[in-house]
Amino acid sequence: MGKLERSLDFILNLFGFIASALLVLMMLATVLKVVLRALFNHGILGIDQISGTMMVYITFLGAAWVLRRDGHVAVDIVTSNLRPTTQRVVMFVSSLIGSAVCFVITYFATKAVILSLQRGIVVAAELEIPRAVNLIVIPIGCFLLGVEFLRRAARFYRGEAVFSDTPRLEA
Amino acid sequence: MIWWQFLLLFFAGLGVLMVIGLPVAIAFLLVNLAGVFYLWGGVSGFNQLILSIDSSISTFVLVPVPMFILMGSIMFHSGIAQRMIEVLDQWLGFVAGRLSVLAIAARALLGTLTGMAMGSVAMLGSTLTPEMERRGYAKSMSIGPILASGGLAILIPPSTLAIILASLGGFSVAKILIGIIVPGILLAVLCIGYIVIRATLQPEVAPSYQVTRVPITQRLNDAALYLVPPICIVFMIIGLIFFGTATPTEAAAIGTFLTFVLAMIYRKLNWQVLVKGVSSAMQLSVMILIILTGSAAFSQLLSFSGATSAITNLAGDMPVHPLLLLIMMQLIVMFLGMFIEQTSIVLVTIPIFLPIVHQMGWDPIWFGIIMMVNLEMATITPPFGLSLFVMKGIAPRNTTMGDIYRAAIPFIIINMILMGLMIAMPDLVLWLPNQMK
Amino acid sequence: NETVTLKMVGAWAPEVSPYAAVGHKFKDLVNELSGGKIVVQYMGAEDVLPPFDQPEALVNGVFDIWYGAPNYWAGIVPGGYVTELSKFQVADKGPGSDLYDFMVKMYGNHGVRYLGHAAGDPGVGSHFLIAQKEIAGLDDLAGMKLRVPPLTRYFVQSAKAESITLPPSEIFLAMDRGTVNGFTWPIADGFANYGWQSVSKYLIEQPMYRSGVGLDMNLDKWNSLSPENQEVVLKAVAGTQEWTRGWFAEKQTEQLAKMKEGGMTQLELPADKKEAWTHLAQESLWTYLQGVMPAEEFAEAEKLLERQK
Ligand code: NA
Ligand code: NA
Repeated sequence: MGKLERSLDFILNLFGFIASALLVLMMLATVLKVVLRALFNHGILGIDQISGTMMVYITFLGAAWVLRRDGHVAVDIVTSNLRPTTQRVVMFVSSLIGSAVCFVITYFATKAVILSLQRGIVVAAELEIPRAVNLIVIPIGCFLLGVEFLRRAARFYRGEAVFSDTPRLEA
Repeated sequence: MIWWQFLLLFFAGLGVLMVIGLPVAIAFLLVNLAGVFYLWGGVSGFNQLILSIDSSISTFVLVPVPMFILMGSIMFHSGIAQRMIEVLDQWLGFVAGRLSVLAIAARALLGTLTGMAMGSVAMLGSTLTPEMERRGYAKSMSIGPILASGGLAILIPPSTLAIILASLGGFSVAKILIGIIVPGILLAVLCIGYIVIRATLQPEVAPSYQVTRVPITQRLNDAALYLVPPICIVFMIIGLIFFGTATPTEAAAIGTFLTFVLAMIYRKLNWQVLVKGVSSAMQLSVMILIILTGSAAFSQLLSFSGATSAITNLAGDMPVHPLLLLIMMQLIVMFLGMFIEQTSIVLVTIPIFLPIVHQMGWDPIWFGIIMMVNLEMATITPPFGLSLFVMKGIAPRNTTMGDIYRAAIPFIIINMILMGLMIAMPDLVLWLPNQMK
Repeated sequence: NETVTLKMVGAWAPEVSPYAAVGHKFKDLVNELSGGKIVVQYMGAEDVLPPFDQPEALVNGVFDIWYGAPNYWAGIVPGGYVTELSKFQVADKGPGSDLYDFMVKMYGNHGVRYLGHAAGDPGVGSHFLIAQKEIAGLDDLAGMKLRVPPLTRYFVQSAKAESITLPPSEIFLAMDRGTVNGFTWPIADGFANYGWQSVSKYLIEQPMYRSGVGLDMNLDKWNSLSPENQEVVLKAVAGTQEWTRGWFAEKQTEQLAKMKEGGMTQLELPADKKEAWTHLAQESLWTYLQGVMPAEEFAEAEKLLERQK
């Protein structure tokens, strides 16, 4: 495994860890808000809004890590019935398409972040934070997802990955 | 382009991309990119697509989805779920296909928490399916009931969809909330009946296993220790919502937190359980949320193209027998339900259907409730029902999408039978709401 | 001499909200006054784009004309809904006035052509408080849990009540179960359509903000219109603003009757408490706007809207 791949894995694991931590944090913050409201008749403002932002962060920070574990749902009605060689080709092609889509989104999401900052757009909610705070994680997550799709394509191309034996966490 | 060309392209595009093994979320995004280019003013529309990705998931209303998943995941990895099932076995050992029955019953109970099908499918699927698999249940019996159970969320109050439907149609919110109770219970009963009969006639689909006889004192003791506490958590969540102490989002977070506490009390919350539980909950949540980033814009683009309302308008253009007209309208909803998100269906169809309903002299409550059952079914209709994708994501490795489609079919038929019953016997639906003043 | 087609998207569908009728009246007036040369085509409401994303979509040119609550612009045009504080019969005094030109300039800086704010007569179609207990003045609000939209949040917080965020579809259950003890709503906007009269007790009859409907256009699209066509659109704006007054009055009467029928009580504040209520409502929003608007713009808004501190 090359140095590049090791650094990629490190980043995916780090982001995966942050996404998991945010999930727990989201729960704790909401509980804290209810407890404070019950005890002092006043909750913390903006927790619901921050939870919404966390949802975006969890999704995009975790996306590439989940793909590494083959955890994104695909419809395998046709692919699972193909001959192994054909299967490899199809999976190679679809992985390339996947990475192309992700890079296109990365490009437009980056532009959207810049435009949002230029226009000075803020979220019209309890905490008036720049909308770019929400948006910035989309290009980051999509870029990594695109890279991971490329790696997946390479694995299918080299025949290292066989359909449905990539590791997956049993829930 | 005219609407049916858009429809055809959207449908075929999505189908092809999914069939070649592209993850569902990416297939949605790619079709959206094309749709945005044609419908939202070329390249400048792409900025809007990015905003729509953010808006589709950055809402606290969806927070119960990852919360219920986390709750289920901790219950499973800490062994709370398995102990619960063992204790239930001691008591219900005589019921054929009892884990499948349990799935339905648990879901009816969880249905009082939220109107969200996906979260509960994920939660029950990840806790119950591995156990069913281990005990040799056939896929139809392990996957089907969990899918069927997901839709119950919409039929058991509280149901946000029912409220949207009622306020849009201008009929009583209270009546529709009361009115969905009987069909909801009926649906649960029909599903349980089907499971028990099938498991009795075909024991191999849900093998009965030897339950060791346990003395009654031991049984009571186990129940008090391992069954009552988790059930209490669920009732506590219901209570928090019912008595208005917390919003649904808050109640879900509290319930999840209490599950952590319970696991700690059982001394089962070690570092390994925590890491496995939280990371697999994160994985499931990401998988579901990222599909939502694509499916929301997909529904909106179809509406923007005019396809959704054009299909709906077909109903008004056909002078047919009232019964046929009713069936036509429900078929349209069913068709839209195959690939469009439920709230969008309600928003587009109700304004067009309602004049027809009034013109025909039908009771709008009756019509609305039949439509609710139909929409409930939409989450599990192939090919693009979102609950089906969730199930695929959590089912054991060797489960194909075909297995999941097949497992859903009996329960789709049950839903259709229920709708047939409601059409044939309006009193079945209307009796309860008519008791109100 | 070509026909121009303008795509319109609204925050709410006419079937959902009587306020949406304002957008559709505008559409009809443009079609009519232009003799068919301008065709406004309605694309849909929340089914085609989430309401809070619609203002930015207008800037992006996804469609050309928008109608919805003026405060949906909060994140894009700071202070874009300052006419909520207006005391004039036509909230922005209509096309051609100094206040109107000020609004046009303010929106123009952000890629939007401001068309107008259509509201009822002052006090008609406004935001009101709905509560589960009797309210005799500001003091009674302290400690209450109130569901608010962004517009009324500053008032509710200044009155030491807790503001709670919930989508409108959750209000019924939240009121029924006591998750909140009240909320604010422009009652003329289909209050009873949601069945809320069966779970609410009191309407506090002290208007807070103008509410009403904002009409806006994509700036590039506006600039591409011929001067004659622009004239027609502005005439349609003025016509819509006039029509809205009668429409909101009719709707408010209709809703009040339904609320009464549903068992709700209308409460008038004691005479000596009314002023403090209105004052806090106005001043809390002015204070907030001061924090987000450019100083010069704010000073001009104060002057044009005749703020009374
Ligand atoms: Na429910
Ligand atoms: Na579906």
